[in-house]
Amino acid sequence: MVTLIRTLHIYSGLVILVALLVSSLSGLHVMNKSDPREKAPVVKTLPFNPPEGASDAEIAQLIREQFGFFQSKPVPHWAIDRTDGVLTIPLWSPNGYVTVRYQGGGEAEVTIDEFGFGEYVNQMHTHLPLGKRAIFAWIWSVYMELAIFGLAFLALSGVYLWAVTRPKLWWAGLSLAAGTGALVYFYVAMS
Amino acid sequence: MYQLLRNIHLALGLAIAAFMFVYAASAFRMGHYFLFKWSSPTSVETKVELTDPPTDPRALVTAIRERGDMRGDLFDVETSSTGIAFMVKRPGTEHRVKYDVTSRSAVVSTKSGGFWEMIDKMHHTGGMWHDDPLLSAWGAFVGLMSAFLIVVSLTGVWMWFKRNRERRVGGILLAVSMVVSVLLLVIVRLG
Repeated sequence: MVTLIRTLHIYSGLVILVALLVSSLSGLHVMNKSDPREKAPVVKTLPFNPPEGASDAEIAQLIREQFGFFQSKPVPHWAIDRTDGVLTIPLWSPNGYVTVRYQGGGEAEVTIDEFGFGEYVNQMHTHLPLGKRAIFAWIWSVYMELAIFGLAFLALSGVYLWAVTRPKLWWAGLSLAAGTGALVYFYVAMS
Repeated sequence: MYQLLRNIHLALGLAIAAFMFVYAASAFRMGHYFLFKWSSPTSVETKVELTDPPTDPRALVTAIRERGDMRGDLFDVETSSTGIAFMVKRPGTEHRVKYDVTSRSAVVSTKSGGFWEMIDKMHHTGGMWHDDPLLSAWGAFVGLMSAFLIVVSLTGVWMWFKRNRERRVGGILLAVSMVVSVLLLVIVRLG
């Protein structure tokens, strides 16, 4: 049993190695992120001429093609907003967020939040196969879904392997208690 | 060398085991929210009254927060001639406040959830920019756990490489997952 669990522990770690590194790099990136309340996005007015009679959904698709970053998510119907004649379309991509406001007149107001490499890695670690996604982002999201189960298995099997093979190591028990205790402390203190 | 790396792998792995498991559980909830609808946060409305409200908006917000025991980060402050509105957020709890100058009272809508909502929001909270030092300490803790995860991953790969038994199958698994996942990371970034 120990041999089997150890083998599975090793194989699952190897399969999700990149996901583990992406997730941990995103944790380090987030730790060093500045206050999001101080962020000022770039706003541009750009030419935009959809065909006459196009529906809001069709305009949203054209906006995605013209202004969206690579691998922008198809715009879901609930995200298309028309208020007081202004059509607002949000575009989500691991490379950046874009919000487009269009009310005719041959131009659109485009708010751009382009991500650097650190934020790109952070966005990729959040990708799960939810709703419609562009194809490559979707394949990645399936890998991240697999990594969720791998992560849980690595944690549980790691504790099991220690408990069965080297339970007398006092510092290992202390390490487990310290990590778990700190997590419980934050949970209680923040709630 | 092998023994040293094995001990480091064990000590740091056990330190992050609970954290990894909770992050995997919260990611599973995010990806399968339809299974967790029952754990959605609930809203409660309360009233906070001030007997001697300060005139300075900043001091007023502080007074309302202290009176209503609202810990966390301050967002979306909007002042008008009739009052002030703002939001205070910490993992698992969100207060939306509307203060009316004439009645000297604030209506506070508090949204909070149980265990699943809490770990979900803990997963989303990071960085060391927060108003509340506890949240910044949590951000640092997330960074520390991430750094540990990198060390655990790399020592794991090293130890696998030194073992003959799982080398062939592990090598195939690692090669395939590395090629596919790194290729996807590059394609989604660069197009």
